[in-house]
Amino acid sequence: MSSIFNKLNTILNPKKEEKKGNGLILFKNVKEAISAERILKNYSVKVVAPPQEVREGCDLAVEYDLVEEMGIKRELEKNNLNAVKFISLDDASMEPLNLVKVKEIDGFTLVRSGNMKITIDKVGKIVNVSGGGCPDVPYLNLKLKGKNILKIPEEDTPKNLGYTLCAYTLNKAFEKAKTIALEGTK
Amino acid sequence: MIIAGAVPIKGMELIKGPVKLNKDTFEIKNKELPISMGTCALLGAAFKTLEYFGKEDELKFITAGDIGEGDGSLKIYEELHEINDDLTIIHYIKPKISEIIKVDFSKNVIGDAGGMYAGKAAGIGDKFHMFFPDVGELAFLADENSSHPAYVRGFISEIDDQEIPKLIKMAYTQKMPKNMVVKGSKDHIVNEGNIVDTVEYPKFEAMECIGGTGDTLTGITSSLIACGFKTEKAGILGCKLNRKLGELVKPSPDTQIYEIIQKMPEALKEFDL
Repeated sequence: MSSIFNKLNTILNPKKEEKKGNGLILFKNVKEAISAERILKNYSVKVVAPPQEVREGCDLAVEYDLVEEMGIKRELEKNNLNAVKFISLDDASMEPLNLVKVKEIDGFTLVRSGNMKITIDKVGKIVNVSGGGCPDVPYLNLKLKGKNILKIPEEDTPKNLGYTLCAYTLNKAFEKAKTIALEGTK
Repeated sequence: MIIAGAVPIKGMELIKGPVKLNKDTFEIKNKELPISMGTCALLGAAFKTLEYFGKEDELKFITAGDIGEGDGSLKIYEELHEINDDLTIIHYIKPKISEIIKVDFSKNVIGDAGGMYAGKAAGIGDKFHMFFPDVGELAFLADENSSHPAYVRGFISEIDDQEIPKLIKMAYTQKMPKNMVVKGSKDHIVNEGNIVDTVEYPKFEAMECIGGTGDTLTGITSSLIACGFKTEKAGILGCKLNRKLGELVKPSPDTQIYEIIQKMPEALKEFDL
């Protein structure tokens, strides 16, 4: 009995230090939150009570390791589970970076999103990927480099191959670079 | 000197030991790894620098395969619970607060890439000897509420290169290493929050595009520290040598990092160290 009480106490009164670097996935209802915990069994997730100020109808949410956001989003999509919102517990008002900057260098186009950069040539060939710190970045670099951005199938885009926030950020730059390459062909 | 970081090979078990460098690959325990951006670019630059001083045999590599799932990174973290070398560099690795806090910081530890992200997110930046952020990552270090560069409050992330001194001051209101090199169009060498020097020339815009040029800077600087150079001096020399490599290669945005690493002996010779 006391262990049930302890578990309930942990959910309702989580220790503050555990939140650092974590995020919260909000769902429409309790059933979806519980399904998500099952689907995401290979990730560091747990069902928690969301703070009052971020509640979206459901009184259970899934806490996760922020850095794993990309893989988690893909896993939920694969299982047709639509989250209402992803928020950072470091600061509930924080959302992933959306800022993308473009620079022309020696006839090539460098697209930068936060800590991630992708460079394409005039016909859209990816010549370099750089930045980041998560281990899927060197993997994405090997997978993408040398390919034409317009011919990369959806399943081989950073959002479908990557797992981490660096992959998420790279995907922002990738999408912008693809738009630029597409405009160049018109 | 130990370099610890993941390589992008799914399922590759933990390997540790000395390495042998070829033109564009490494050999470690009969396994061949390509020199591309990330940990292997750092390793390449470190190997070449140490080789110049006849100390390449002192380089040890701890690695495992990880394509983002975190499996290889966890094995590397475990190896870092006890460190038996004066200097360790933690590089591409999945940031994990619960694991980075278990690392043995009794000797000097340098954090770059995922190692730096984890250290800052865990609030233990001051346990590190040195960080190597670029401007985007400096914004992350400066944002007290951020635990990853993908989550940085907009008003900080939109600050441009001109405002680096301001971001450095902001970063040093939190727990930061004694030393830092902020790499960019102009490199800033920082000691205890003060900019002690900057290196700006020669300038090659194309270097920004090339995956691995930040990794080589970390590799060169760390190796110089391992060879006995004072950290500030090593930071300044590292920035100058990295730019000298640019001058020797005459890079374009499609230059590959192994082409740059090959020029290391020439660059070191020109500095007459």
